[in-house]
Amino acid sequence: MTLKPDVESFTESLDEPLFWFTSDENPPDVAPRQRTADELLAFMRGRLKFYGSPLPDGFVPPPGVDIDALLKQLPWPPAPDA
Amino acid sequence: MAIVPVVRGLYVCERVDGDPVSKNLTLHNCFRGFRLSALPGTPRPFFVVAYLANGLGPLSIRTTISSPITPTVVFSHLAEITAPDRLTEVRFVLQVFCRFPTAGSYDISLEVNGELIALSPFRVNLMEAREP
Repeated sequence: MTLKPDVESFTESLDEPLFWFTSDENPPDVAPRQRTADELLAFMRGRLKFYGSPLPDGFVPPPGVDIDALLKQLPWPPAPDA
Repeated sequence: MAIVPVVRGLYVCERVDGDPVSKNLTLHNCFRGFRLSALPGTPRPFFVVAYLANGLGPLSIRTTISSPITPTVVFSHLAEITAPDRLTEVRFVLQVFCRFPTAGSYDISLEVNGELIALSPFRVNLMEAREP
């Protein structure tokens, strides 16, 4: 059986709030910057949540950041099952 | 008290049309990567769109584009919004002007009130030179 539209239909309007932003087209500084240690810790927590491991393969630690010390603040590696 | 929302969808697309009457959004050409003719390079502005649910109160939304390998931040934007109640979905649209320094993998992340709620991989490639 072929279902051909045989009635008029209209999509409902969305009444949900819409927040629309535009980033600066002429930012004062576009140079890439290294993450700070605090940002890196948050980044690793996020990766743990979404990817299951805090750091990607081939990760290059930024100079001056003690990655091992940051890793100790994370539940990583996961504890073996009892 | 603010309650951090969950993300029902995080999209990257070339264009967003908002219908002035229905207020519905149309996302054009959703993608997960760029090919650029030269690097460093600034592509056409693109859009990050998120549908947020179950949030409440004032929300600080930090959108970041970064390389997960080096780890280098190439774009960061902070927006302040208010979620009226937990049952109302909030739509967040950000038009991004961003310069990419190198080819490779990037992450687009969304943090709300300091908590990471969405992470999406994104790739930038250098376009192969055409034969003269």
